[in-house]
Amino acid sequence: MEDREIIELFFQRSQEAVGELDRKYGAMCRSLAYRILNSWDDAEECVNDGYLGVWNAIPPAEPEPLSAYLTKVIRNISLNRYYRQAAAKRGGVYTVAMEEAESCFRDAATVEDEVEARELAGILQEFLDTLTVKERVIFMRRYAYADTYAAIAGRVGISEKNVSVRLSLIRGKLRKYLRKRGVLV
Amino acid sequence: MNEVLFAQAVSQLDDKYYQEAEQYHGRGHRWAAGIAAAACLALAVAGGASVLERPGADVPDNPPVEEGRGEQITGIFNGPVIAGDADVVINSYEKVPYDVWEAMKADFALAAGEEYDAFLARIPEPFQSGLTVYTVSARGETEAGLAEEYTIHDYVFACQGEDGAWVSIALCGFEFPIRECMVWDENPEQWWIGGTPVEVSRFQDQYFARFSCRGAYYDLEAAGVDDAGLEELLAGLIG
Repeated sequence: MEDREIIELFFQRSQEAVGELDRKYGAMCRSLAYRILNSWDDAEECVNDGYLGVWNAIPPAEPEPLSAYLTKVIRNISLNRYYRQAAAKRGGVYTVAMEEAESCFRDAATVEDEVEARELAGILQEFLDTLTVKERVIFMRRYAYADTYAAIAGRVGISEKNVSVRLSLIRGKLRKYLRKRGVLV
Repeated sequence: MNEVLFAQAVSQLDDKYYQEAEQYHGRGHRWAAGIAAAACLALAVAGGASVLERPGADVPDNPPVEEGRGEQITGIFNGPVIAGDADVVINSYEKVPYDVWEAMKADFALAAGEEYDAFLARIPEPFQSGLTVYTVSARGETEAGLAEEYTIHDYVFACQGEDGAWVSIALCGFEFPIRECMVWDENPEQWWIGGTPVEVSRFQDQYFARFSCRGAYYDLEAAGVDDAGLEELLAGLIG
C-alpha cells in the first residue's frame, strides 16, 4: 500500500491504519528498536508505543516521507527507554555505535556555552552535506539506524573492512569539522 | 558534548537524510539481489561470483614501514598540505628493498587492473621526470572498538611537471581514494573523456577530478595546468 493511502486511513480513523503501517514498516521498526535496546520484548513495546504516537499525531500531521517520520518516532521512543535503563543492562549494536561516535569528542573540551541538540543537528547537517552520498549513507546507517557493519556493507556494496575504514575516516572528518565550527576545542 | 546530545542531534536531522539512507543501495547490493532472484528461478548464474568486482576483494597487506618513513609528506610539491588529523600512514618507496618494491608493484597491479609500468606510461612525459609514489594506509575498528591493522587504501603518484605544474594521481582498487582537503563543490562539471564520465571541480587555482575506469577509482588534483592540459592528462589515464 502506498504511503498516501496509509495516511488516508489514519485520517479516516480506520482500524486498518495501524495494521497497514505495520505490514509495510513493522519489520524495519522492530529491527531498529531491537538494535537500540538489544531486547525483542522491549523493541515490541516501543514499536507499539510508536504506533500509538503516530495514531495520535495523524491527523493533523501529514508526514512526507512517512518512513522517515516513523523511523524518528521509533528511534526516539527506543532511545528514551535505552537511556532510562541501567547502564549495566545496555548492550548491543547501538551501544557499540555510540561508543564509536563518542570517540570523536571524548578527549576534547566543549566550548563553555552548551550546544543545544537542535543547533548541533544543524551543524551535523552541514557536515553531512560535505560528504559523498555513500559516506553520508554509511554515517546515517551506523549512527541513526544502528546498522551492523555487515548490514551497511551489504547495502552500500563494499566489504565490512571498508565500512570500518570509511567510518573511521568519517569520524576523523567530523572531529575536524566540529573543531572548525567551534563546537570542540 | 556527549553521547546523549549527539543522539538527540541525530534524531533531529532533516528527513531527507533518513530517506536517502533508506533508499540508497550500492552496486554490490544490486548484483547480490540479481543473483538471489536468479537462484529462486532455478537459473544457473555461471560465473556470477566473478562478476562481483571489488566489494569483496581483500585489501593488500601494508608494507613494512621504514623508520622515519611514516611521517606525513607535506610540501613535497607546491600543493595543498595533506591534512594531519586523519588516521592514516603514508609510506614512501624511495629507498626500500627490491622485494618490497616488487611486492608493492604486484599489489598495485591488482588494484589498478594493469601492470605498474603500463600505468606509468599513461602519465604524460613532462610529469614523469619529477614523479614519486607513495601509499596511504588506513585502518578501521572492529565492532568491539579494537583498532585494526593499517592496510593500503590508495596508491598516490605525485608528479612535478614543468613551469610549476603538478598533479597528484590517487588510485584505489575498491572505492574512491581518500581526499584530505575538504572541498565541497555543489555543481561539479561533468566531462566525458573517451566515453568515461569525469567529475571535475575547480577550487582557487586547482582542479579536482574523479572517475572510475578499468575497475579502479581515481582522484586527481592538479595545478598549473589549463583545461587542455587536464584533458590530455585524463585522456592518457583513461585511454
